[in-house]
Amino acid sequence: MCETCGCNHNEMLVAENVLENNNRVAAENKKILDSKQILTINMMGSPGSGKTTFIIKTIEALKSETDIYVIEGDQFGSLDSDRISKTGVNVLQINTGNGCHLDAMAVNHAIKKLKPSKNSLLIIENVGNLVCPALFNLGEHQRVVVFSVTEGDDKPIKYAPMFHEASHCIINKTDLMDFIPFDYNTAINNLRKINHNLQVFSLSALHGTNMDLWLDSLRKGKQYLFHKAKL
Amino acid sequence: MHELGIAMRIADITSKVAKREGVRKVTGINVDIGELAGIVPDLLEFSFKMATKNTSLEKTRLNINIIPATAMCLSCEKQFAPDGFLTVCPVCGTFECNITKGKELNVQSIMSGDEPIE
Repeated sequence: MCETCGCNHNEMLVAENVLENNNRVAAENKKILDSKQILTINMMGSPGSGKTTFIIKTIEALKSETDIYVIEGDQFGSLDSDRISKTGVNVLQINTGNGCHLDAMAVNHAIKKLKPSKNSLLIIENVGNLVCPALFNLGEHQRVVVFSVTEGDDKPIKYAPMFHEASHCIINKTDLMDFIPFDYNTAINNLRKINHNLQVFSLSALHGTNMDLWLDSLRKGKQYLFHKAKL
Repeated sequence: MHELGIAMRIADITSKVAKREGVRKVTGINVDIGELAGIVPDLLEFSFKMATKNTSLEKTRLNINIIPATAMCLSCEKQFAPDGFLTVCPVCGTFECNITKGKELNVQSIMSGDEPIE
């Protein structure tokens, strides 16, 4: 009999992370992607933050330099993958139905279907959602959150987990800053409070302005993977 | 609303351990949930009921133990309770702090045997 509460319970230690299954498959994904030096970006952000336009502009700028593949996550339909496939790159659409995020298993299946080539760039556009995708590791090298100025400079504080877990942040639609009450310094300060390691890029994907620093960082990311594999 | 998926995983882990250890009746599951793990405890409890309806875990209690968040300043090494993900050191005011506790999401233990004597 239990000495604490007088019951006949036996307590059995488990100590297992609830996300262990996802993390294990994510580690498998990472191993495959590392071995083929495929730089993989998990692109997250609110619906309407401009993720798809940003991906298309990135593809247009880099497709002459590298093979690019896209895994497109949406609840329903293929509108975004249709847009992206017009750039000529290979796209695979995943419909999550009622699911609010992509998980490592869905990405594992997608990688096996897409078969990205060695030394390529793989962009995963997560389901538009500033909450749930933050929790699920996919095996990516970079976690990029796209945050548009129309969402407000307080967004990083209100949706802190997403910004905390990201490695890069794109402040998008900067061309609209003159027309709305968005304080750039406040936004940067809020991002720093939540994540002091975050690399921030401010640009307008629609007009293709100030994309250079972002594109250079992708090139450097690819070089890093290439050299790391040789070590 | 990712809590349903999390609840299903908790049920899976429990069933797997119970089967392995030959436990016929699991009366309770103790889970550690960090304050910053991105889980709403009420939603998790509700989801667990949904996920275990008409299964052997239908009457199993889910005991949620909330782990408070702790952060540490990288400059002065002060440990403090952050304001959510806002990690500003109360001593030197820097943002350069790491969260050291509060993101846990673990099934710690399972209880088997009879119901407690009221």
